Amino acid sequence: MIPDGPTGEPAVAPVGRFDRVTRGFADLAGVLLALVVVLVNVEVVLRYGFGSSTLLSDEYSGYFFVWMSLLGFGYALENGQFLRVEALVERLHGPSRDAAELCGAVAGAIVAAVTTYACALTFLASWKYGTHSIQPSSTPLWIPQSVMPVAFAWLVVLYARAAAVRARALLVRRSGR
Amino acid sequence: MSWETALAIYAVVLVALLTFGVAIGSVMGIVGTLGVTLLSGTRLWPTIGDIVWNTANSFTLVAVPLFVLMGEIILRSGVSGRFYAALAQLLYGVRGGLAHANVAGCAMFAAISGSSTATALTIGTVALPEMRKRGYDDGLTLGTLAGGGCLGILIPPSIPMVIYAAVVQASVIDLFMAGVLPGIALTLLFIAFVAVRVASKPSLVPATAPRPSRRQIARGLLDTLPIVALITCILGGMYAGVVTPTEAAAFGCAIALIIAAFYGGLSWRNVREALRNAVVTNAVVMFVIVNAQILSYALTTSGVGRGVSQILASLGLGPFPFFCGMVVLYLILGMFIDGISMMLLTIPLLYPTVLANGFDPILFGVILVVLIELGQLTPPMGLNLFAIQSISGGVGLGRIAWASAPFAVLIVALCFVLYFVPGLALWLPAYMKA
Repeated sequence: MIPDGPTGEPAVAPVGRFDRVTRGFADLAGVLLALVVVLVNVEVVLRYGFGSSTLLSDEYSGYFFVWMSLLGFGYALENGQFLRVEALVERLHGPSRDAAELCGAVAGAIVAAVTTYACALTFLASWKYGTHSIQPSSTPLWIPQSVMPVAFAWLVVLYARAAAVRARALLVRRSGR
Repeated sequence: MSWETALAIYAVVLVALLTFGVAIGSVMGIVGTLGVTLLSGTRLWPTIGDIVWNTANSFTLVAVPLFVLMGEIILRSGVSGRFYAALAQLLYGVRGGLAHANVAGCAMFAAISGSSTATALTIGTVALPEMRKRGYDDGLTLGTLAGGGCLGILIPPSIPMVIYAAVVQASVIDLFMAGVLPGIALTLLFIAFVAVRVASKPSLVPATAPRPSRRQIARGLLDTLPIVALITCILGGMYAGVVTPTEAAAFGCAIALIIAAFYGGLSWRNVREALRNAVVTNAVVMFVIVNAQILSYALTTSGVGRGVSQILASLGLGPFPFFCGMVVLYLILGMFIDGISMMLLTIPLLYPTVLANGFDPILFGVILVVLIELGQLTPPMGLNLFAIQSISGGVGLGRIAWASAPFAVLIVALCFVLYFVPGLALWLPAYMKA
């Protein structure tokens, strides 16, 4: 029997490399959040204490936010935190539950795959055309955008793994009969 | 393909996937991608990358993880227990003082923590054993905890308000201001209800507590200070124009760290856990927001948004019947879907009609948040009911829902008050601007 996570998502026990990468992403997201706190407070102190500005607080807070949001997706998925309607699924048991969870994982993988492709195109376009931000830092946009295909691709991997676990459980149940 | 056919396909896929427990963000993404694909094959797929970037790269939304982090730090600092105990002492002379302390404590604390369920759990863990020990009626205790926990998302800072503002391009500060008086009004309504209930059935509560010493009262006042100071700094800074909402949130994190250090609750482990929880909460919210924008794009490009608005307009409903229909819609959705997902699912379809019916965007935002509060109390997906059940020691969900029902009715009542007296929400932002 495969246990279900707190919200019914497949509680695939994160192990080995998958776990390390997912946790690593979440830790990096945490560091970025802490950096945002520092950066924004430094901006406020500079503005009122020294009549100056970092000139990049708003811009880089936004970039860090993109990174922390997307890097956190995998950890949220692995811990069954993604929101969903559980009224019916909670009442399902055995193969029907596995089938529903498999369906969810496949749906998640499809969306993540399309988004990975789309984000890769956005990233490549910025790279190819040398797009820069219009802020004083003139940051090449491919740098902050590079996280998008990576994070969504990782989500595809995690969803595919969850789907494989559910599919295997279904097969095991069937062969057990 | 006509927009009606597109809408029918979206609705069937959406309901089917939601029913089978697919993550709400994934459902929105699937329907959005399907919509875009049905319209123009894979030609518009690259736009999805731009949508992800433009949605996530938002300085306004940066406030979301920052407010969550601030609340996480405070929740771990031990201030909640002290705050509740202080309120209980200060309300010693009031019959049913602890029930009132539940409402007031939850309202203040949820405002800071940004999470109704976390607040209900935190205050509930302290309050429940104490109230049972003193002989309070369990129904009253459970109801005030579940109901009180809902108050926080209306009283600023409010995460749903930040998200609403980012989606409809409204002013976060105006929304925060607009939430203050309705938040206080709902808190007073809850307190008045408890007072009436206790007066009509005195056996629900024990006799008033013994009068605390002056020293205890002074200590109690001192223990409420950090929470009051934090809220004052955040709101004061924003409304004085000193800081933006995002800067206020970061500033709030810094103050929360100082408060936690003062109360000995600041450890590397606590900070790490607070950061981790803030990251996960933010990821959960952003997963829905990003995918909701993809769905919104599909609804716009396929003409569904415009078509639905035209249909609603052609029905010739006046503002009041439309408002009643909206309350019923959100009441039903709130039973099954969490508040933020519910908001993001419906805004692309309803918002144009809402404006066409003469609703102020700020007023609608406040009403929407009140309806999200309602969803936290309505089974089978009332998150606050689950939170209180988890610490109740085996009390059934039905009993907790029944105990919370009067508070849900009061929330609906506030919605209608806001409809008939919009000044309750709109007066303060207008006054502050003036």
